[in-house]
Amino acid sequence: MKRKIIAGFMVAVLAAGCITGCGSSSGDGTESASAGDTLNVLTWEGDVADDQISGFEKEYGVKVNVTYVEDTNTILAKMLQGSNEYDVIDVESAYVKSFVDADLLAPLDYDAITNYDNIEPSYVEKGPIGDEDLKYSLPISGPLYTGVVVNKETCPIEITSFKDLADPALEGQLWCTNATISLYAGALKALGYSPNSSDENELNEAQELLQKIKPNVKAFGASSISSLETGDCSVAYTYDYNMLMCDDKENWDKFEIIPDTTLGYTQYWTIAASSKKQKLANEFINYAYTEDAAAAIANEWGGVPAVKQDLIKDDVDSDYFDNPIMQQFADMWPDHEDLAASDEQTAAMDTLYNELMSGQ
Amino acid sequence: MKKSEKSKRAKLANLIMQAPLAVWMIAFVLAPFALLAFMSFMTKGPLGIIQYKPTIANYKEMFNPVYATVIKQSLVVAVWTTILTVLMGYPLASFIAKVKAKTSSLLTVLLMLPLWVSGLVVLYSFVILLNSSGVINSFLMSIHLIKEPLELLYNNFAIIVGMIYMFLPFAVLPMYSSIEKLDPGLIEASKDLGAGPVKTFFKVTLPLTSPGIFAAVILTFIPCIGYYMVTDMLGGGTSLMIGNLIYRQFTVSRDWPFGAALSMVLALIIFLMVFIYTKLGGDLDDLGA
Amino acid sequence: MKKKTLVNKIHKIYVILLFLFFYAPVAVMVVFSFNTSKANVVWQGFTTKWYSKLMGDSELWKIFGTTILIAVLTTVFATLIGTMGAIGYKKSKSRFAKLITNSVYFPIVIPEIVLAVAMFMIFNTAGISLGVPIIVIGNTTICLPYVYITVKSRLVGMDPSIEEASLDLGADRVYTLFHVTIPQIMPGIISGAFMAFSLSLDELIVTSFLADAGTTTLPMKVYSMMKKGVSPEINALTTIIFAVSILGVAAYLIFDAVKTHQDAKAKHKLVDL
Repeated sequence: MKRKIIAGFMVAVLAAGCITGCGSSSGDGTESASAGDTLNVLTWEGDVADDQISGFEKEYGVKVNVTYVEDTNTILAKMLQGSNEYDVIDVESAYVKSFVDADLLAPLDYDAITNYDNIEPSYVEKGPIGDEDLKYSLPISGPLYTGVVVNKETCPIEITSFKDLADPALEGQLWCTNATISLYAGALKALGYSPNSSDENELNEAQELLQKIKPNVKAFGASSISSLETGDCSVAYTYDYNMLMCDDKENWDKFEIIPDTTLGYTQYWTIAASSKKQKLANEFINYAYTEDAAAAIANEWGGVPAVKQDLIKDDVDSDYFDNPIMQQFADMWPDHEDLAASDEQTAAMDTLYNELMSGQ
Repeated sequence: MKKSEKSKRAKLANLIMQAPLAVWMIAFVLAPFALLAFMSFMTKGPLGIIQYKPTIANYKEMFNPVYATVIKQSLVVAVWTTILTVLMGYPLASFIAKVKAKTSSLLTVLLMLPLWVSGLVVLYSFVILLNSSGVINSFLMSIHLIKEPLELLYNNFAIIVGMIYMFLPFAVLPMYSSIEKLDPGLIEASKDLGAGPVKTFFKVTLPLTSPGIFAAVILTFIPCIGYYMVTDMLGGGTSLMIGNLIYRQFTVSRDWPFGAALSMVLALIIFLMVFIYTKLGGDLDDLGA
Repeated sequence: MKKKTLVNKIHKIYVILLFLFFYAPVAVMVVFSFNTSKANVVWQGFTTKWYSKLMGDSELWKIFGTTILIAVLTTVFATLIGTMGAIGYKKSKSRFAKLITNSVYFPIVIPEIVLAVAMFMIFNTAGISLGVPIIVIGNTTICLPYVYITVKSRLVGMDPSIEEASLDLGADRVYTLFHVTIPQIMPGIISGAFMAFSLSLDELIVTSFLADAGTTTLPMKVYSMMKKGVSPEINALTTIIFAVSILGVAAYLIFDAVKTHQDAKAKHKLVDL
């Protein structure tokens, strides 16, 4: 009897799985019968909108496969070993140089990117380190920053610099990103050095600063929003300040970012050199700067748009641009510092990070 | 004539049963493992590309005390988790074995259901449950049982809770399978011979269900060492676990050879522990290994 | 007698408490699928918009389908190969046999990332393209030890004389296998299968490494969302899956209750005759 029950259960599950799984994979053919082309896009959550994808699919008669990445390094590692799955890739500014140096990217076809003029001009004045001329990349959104974010109501001290995070008054109050690059760059910058330094002495100084800060850290992680919104932490060194502010209008008055602690980390669209659909890839990137696409992204995710604000002003809520990040991020952009994780720096930081996190 | 034919057929039958496992192990376990061993002696090239230059630098690096600390931390968590999970799971397993067949399959399904629905999402729900303005704290404060929120998240308490949650089903199932096999007649006999329930448990039940317990220990302890999701999500990620460290080698640090070397060392340590266990009298034949 | 029922009562209460602990986060997960906040950490308000979004999100259903497909295939393969292996290697003492049975432990000893990378490299070098079949192979490799070890622990101490008796009585090996051996170890097989299914459904690391561009599984999607907070849409999906499973269980219970009732009635009728 037991056997029959289990067997029945499994058959039901198998049937369900096959129907949904098999059915939708054969759906590829029926959905785009005309062109039959597929574009593989690798991106981060929050950088594309469902309506943007479906809009593009309809206009060009193709199918877009969106894969979400959770770690740029995994992708880089796979691609270096020869994996060539993706056509369009969303790369953080800190890694663009690595991709370019490894010859993994194809130059963008600016003739195809007719919507270039829709992009806010200040964002394309200079590209990320390694692609300053924006030969291979274009910004996906407005600038993004990693920095110290404080809860104005509950933070016990005034914070003006990354060094202030070592203040004992903050014990158990600090949330911190676990991204090696951000940690060391932040410390290096606070000490007056280049955030991309691979000098051993400078890095050791940074390590000392981080070791003083670590006792204050309640949690390391990827997203600070949970700790800040619940009040578990009153300060955070994080990169998702924009998401925090876009999640709830109540956060506009509660939180602020400290400009002197910030480092830029904008995301960029790039095309894989191994891609066989570069024409389509260029069109995808171009489409992202249309009013429809930009509005879709703004309405689904919020954030500072890559396009000129006037373009989508009528498609979003009337107070969309009242969000403090709009002005703040624009103000910080001209003088912002960028990161580029070089091999030497990565190797050196890594050993230090292991020592820092193993409690030594 | 009949006997040798029988044993021939016996051998053939056995071979057919063995074949799939053997083929699978060779192709998908031993071959990758050999590749790993090979990789651990290679050098890391620029950007992490593997350079085929043999070296023992990766193993020399292992002597850095950092790694001993990391391994020790992982072992401590694994030991605690295993002990607690097996202790808490045994009564549950014996209950499931005690009830009628239909109820036991029901309970088994109910036990596994949360994990089927997505362990990660459920784990994330713990964050909502345990944080300082979360469900538990809000409730306790609203009935005035506490004035300040309890520290339930981003500490060892949360880690233990999360670990037990993730590993309990995997401890319960093997133990249940072993307990269910227990002949109730033996318990009766023991009682008839005058042994009290406690003595019966320790002298009859426990030894006879030890294969299940051993299986539960293995299936909890070993994966637990390399597991880091709970410490990252609920523990605050303030300590590096060996799982994190190895993961980093293949991603952020882009040092695949070193990652391979770390894995070899980890595998060695675990095999060493199992070896010591057998030398101390533990019977691996309980599992037929 | 009193002692016995007290112990039984405590036992029952313990189990109930444990299940409450087990389902507390699930309850939270369900409730928070109705949260208006996208970051989904603090309750902001009630809404069903995530469910409507979910219904229109064909991508998410495809992901779900892929995940189930992989899990089912993995369970079938792992259970088959693991059970056959456990039975087949029961008595073997040859060195080759020891090599094989010891190597079963490798996938649980070695962290998943390592297995993922090793398998990725092998398939990459061999020029085999990634995708669902390769993911199934990867998952099966991870789940095999669980099935093997569980079935094995059940086989150990199984009275071999029953099998011998069956053979002596004239039954052939196949019959003995299916009607004597397997029923005896069935709880082990089922337990192993359950574990394999659970592991595969939730498997993240090996799957991400072995996936191709068009394949995403639910754990991959959830993990990538974690960088920005798990949106209630995911909660909605898992809640629906949970609800369907619970309905399935409830349906089974009702069906069973009805059947038992009907059997009892039929029995009465016979007795009356």
